[in-house]
Amino acid sequence: MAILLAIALIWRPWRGFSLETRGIQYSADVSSGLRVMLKLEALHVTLRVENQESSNEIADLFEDSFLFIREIEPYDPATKLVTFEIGRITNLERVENIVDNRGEVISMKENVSDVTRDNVIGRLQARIDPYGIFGARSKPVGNNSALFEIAELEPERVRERLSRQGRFEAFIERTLVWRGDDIGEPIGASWYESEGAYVYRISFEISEEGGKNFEKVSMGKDNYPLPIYLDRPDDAIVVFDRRILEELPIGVTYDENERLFRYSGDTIGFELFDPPAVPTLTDSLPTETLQFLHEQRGVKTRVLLLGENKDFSENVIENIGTIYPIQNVPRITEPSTEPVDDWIRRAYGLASALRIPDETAGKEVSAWEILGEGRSEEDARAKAKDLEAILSQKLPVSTSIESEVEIEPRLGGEFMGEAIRAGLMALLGVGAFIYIRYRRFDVAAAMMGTMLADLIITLGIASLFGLRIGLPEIGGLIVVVGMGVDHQIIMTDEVLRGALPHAQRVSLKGRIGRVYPIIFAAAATTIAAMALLAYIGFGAMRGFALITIAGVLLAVILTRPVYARVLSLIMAREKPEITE
Amino acid sequence: MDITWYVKRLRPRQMVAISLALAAILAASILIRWRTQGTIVPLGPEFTSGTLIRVGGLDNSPDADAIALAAEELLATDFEVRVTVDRATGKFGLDMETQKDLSDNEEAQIEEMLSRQFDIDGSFSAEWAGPAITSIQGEKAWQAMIGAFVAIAVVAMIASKNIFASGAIVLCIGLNILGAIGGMAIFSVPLSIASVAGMLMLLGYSIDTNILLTTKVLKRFGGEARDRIAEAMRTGLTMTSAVLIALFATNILITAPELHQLSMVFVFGLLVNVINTWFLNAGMLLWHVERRRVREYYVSE
Repeated sequence: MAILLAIALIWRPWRGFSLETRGIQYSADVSSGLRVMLKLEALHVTLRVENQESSNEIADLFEDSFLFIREIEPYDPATKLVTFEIGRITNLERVENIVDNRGEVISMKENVSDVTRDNVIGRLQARIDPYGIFGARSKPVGNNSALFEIAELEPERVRERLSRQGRFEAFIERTLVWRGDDIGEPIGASWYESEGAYVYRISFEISEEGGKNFEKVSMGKDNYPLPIYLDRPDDAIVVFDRRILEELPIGVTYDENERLFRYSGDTIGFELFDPPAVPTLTDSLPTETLQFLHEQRGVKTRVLLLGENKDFSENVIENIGTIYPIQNVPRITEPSTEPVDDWIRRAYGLASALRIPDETAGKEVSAWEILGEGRSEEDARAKAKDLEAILSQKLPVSTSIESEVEIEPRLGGEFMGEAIRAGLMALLGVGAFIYIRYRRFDVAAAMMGTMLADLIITLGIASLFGLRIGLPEIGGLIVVVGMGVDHQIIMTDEVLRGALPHAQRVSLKGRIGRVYPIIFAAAATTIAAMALLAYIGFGAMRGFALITIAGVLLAVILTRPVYARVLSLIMAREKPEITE
Repeated sequence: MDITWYVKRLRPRQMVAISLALAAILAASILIRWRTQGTIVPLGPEFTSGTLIRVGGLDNSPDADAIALAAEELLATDFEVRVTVDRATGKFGLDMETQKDLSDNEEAQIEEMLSRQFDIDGSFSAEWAGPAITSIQGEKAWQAMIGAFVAIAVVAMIASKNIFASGAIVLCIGLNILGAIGGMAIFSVPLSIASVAGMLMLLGYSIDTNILLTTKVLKRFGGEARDRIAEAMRTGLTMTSAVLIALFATNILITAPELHQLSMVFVFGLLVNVINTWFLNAGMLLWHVERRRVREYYVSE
């Protein structure tokens, strides 16, 4: 039964007839994967300041603006220099505006410290391979890049998880209620269908300080929306094609004077107040828009253009491009065209806007949730899992994807074919050896059958839990099968030992029974060692340990007793007297 | 030929001494390598920094194996070359990784070689690439290995109910790992994910023969301890031989160098395990059993 179940898990016949083993997933060792080069965006800013107090003041201002800072070179009273690492790419004007007359900017260059880089790589690794079983690999490249290699994760998921910083902000009206430090790791993610829509929810804890702040800010704000933003582009100006205003649904309006989108309807609404949004025509940039863009230099550092460059004339792109770098936010058109308000929300990083219930306003809260919608159940599930991964590993710096390529497997495309042939040869080789050792075909056949069963059952369990098979996991499989052979040899030797001069007269059942303590002790020791390896270890170690634990445990419970039974039947046929 | 002859002839101290002598030789190899080359074992690509060369914008899929060979001949250093496909443009590319920090001149030589020999003139970039295993992960790996040893000791103690026996098992397994590392030092097998996997496999395997030996010696009471050890050894050697045959078959048919690294470490460790189990552990258990019997004799007197 177990073997049939395992075969079903490996083959997955319910997905349609095919000879492929669809249940087995491979890591980048044996399957082609995705290689993503990621740029880590941070700046090292060196300032000359009068004293430590000025340095501290600037540090606080940098933290308010850029959220993450580290002192790379502490303030030196002799040279009066201090160097900060800030977690955003920005321009000199903005930095000078913040520093103001507290100091002088000496240099500014894109760079990431080793500590920050290792921290970010570790967090991103945890996002794409949370349990260390997908065989994802990563390494730092150059001064401020990192290379990630993942097999078989959908490219959209990879992009989401690697390129989102996870900078969390929640507002009531225009007052900041919570930031990243105020929220803990997600405590649950779920997705379901509700009234024709595919909804997802992510719950998270709020810190005590965050709870108190909510109590203060939400006083008298019953039923007010609480917009939650992830990676709000507060250093940008949103530029959009004026024609999209015709597609705005009821309840969503654009305020030309305030330069913002407003969500109202017949309840208390909220505004997307920052970044500001300005319209353009597709063939020319209005004067007011151009003027606004000029005025915001030193405050804003880029333009978020809703659409592709090709949707606008060269003239418009050039005019904007001479003032700010342009980042495009194209509209999603597959599987269907994205509604305009969803497009706008996505550009702003608006994740959710749940209303504050009457009984919660003005009280301390300890948890909250994000509620969003997907285009399908699968989309809702994917978004929920992505957000959960992003919120559980918030990054101190922003990232951007430099390149994304498919790469051939590390072990070469021929590896799996070679491995299968080698596995068969090993099976036959061991079978032949066992035959020579015991001079018994039935024993050799029984052992080979049990080896095969161990392998199939272990692969079945790996398939069930989505454990990806790579080189370390293949090592684990060899251990499982090899331990199986070892235990069967112990059992066979004990049973066939027969007429040794000092052999005690013990029945067959007794002899097999005496072997079990050895097998259990060996299995328990292996499982204990592997459990610790799985817990503390990472990546390759964890995958190896998990597959060994699963295989050894199941083999001891399932295939050892079966082999013992088969051996009993063989011996009972030959020497009925020893079965008593 | 009775391969268990020494069990009946040698004293426990002699059996232990043979194993410790082997351990000393292996430890010396490690030390010599460390003094002469600065590392205990060569470090594989996951543990060292090097250079990543990326070529893109190619219309045709390049021959990765031929390029790797040419690059290795040119610069006398190993290269891992893999073909890539840009998802956005559909163009082919190359990722070439080496453990050497290439100079600007060497990078230029590679670029020239690609153009001249393979007609590859796409976008070319070369950057420093750090180790895939960070120092934090390296520390975690050591903690995991040490933790695994502790777990083995605890479970072996519970299973055997004998501190001496469980200590012998842990010592044996520790010397097996030393043996595996010694083999890596002697044969210059790099420390990599593959060789770490080999050491982990050794950890799992070593336990079986040691538990078998311990159970037979301490928990069976027919005949002399030496006979029981000899009997256990015949079973144990059958077990080890079966594994070696499987590994041999695998190595003939699989060309991946990573699997050779895994096998080298594992096979060497297994061979050392044979000595450690059937000389060191057996000798220690024999001494323990014979001492206990002498004590019981005197007590009964």
